Amino acid sequence: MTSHRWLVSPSLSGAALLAAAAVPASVCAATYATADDVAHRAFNTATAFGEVLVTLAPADAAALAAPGAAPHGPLRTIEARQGDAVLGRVVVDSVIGKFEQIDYAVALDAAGKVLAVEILTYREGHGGEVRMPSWRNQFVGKTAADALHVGADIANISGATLSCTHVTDGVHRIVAWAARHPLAAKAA
Amino acid sequence: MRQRARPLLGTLVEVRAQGASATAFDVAADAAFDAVAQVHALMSFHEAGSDLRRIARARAGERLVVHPHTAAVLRSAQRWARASDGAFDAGCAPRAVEQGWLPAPADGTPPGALPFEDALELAGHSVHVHAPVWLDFGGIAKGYAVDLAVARLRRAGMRTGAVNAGGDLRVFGTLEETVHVRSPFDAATLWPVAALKDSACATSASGAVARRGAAPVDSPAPRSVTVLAPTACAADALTKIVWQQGELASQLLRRARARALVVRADGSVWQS
Repeated sequence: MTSHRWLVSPSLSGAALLAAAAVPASVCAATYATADDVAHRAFNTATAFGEVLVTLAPADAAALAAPGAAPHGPLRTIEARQGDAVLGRVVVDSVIGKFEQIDYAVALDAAGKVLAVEILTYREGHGGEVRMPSWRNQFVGKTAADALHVGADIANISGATLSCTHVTDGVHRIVAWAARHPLAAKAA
Repeated sequence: MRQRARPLLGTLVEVRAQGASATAFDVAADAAFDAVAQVHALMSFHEAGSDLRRIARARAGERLVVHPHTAAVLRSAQRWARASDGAFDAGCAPRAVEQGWLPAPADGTPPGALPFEDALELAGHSVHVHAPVWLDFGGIAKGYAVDLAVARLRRAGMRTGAVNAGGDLRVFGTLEETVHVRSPFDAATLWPVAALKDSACATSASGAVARRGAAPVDSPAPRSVTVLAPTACAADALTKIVWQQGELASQLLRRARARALVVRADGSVWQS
């Protein structure tokens, strides 16, 4: 049976009164999956999974970084195998959006084709930065229409349009890196 | 409550459900994500192979068969356009292209002046194009995708849960959720505005408007419109209508068993 009700009273006459019940966005965080979960879902016929921390050459570290960001640190990957065959790998990365930090994982088959992109964790806010008006002012006119819901254990999503762009850009960088470092060559 | 999220529809899509085994949830969530991805492929103005772009290429007099999902969203868009005397306008893509919000389709037939609800005649899954139209379903396709994802979760045996696509939210089963809306005045603040059970919610907020020229701070123009409705598709359509019509949309909201909360640029609030 459909039911919905306002938690704000009709007698409220201003945003200032609404603000009395407000919560800081920075309390919002959600955990959706681990990199292992993503590996097991994407490669459900695999017989073995191995964590491989890839130390990046300076050119790759720069290419994997978001524009203007510091070079990417070692790249966390999980390789999936079935007997001797390499099925593919999962690459873990983080992007910082305007409102949030997002950890995500990309599952790629042995040929470098994307099988899935899944969000691992989501955190609202950049700690202290989000309280600085000048930092916030960058969002004026740029944010998407957002509602978000906060359940008993504070699970929610917001600021979504921008963050998704950053995830998409990150996926493109990972696909390009994987093409330069094919798994097949490694197995041989 | 188990949950997963993927980047889809240009936003983050979050799927949650309760009470199932991890495997059952994964199968259900995959079906829900697949449904959302399908809606995106059919109804994106960016993708040349989408039904929307096929319609944009069509010349006056052509008939084309679209996917049942596209037909359902078009039928719904036409109903909202007629019910709101055109305040809801899915034929707005040419203006969006003009403003640079959408890329101009190189293959599009120049659109005519006829309102989209009159230019396109729908019979089953067949669209009779009376005049060329560039459709932009925008949020209602997102709302429809959320409704469809909920249907897939239910079909896969999930009894309660929620789907949230960047603010178009639907809750099903016994779960009751508090909806928070980001303050249009302060990005770091969330307002707990509503409780939902087996219902949906959508918000259109200042960002979308600011791009069209932000209203002055002392203006009664809306900065944020939140609508609660039985479906996410209806909730999303109604945010656009309430944005333009304000309190004049009261009757339409009642007929749709929906309620609206408008926060205006001057800080005043209206709710139905």
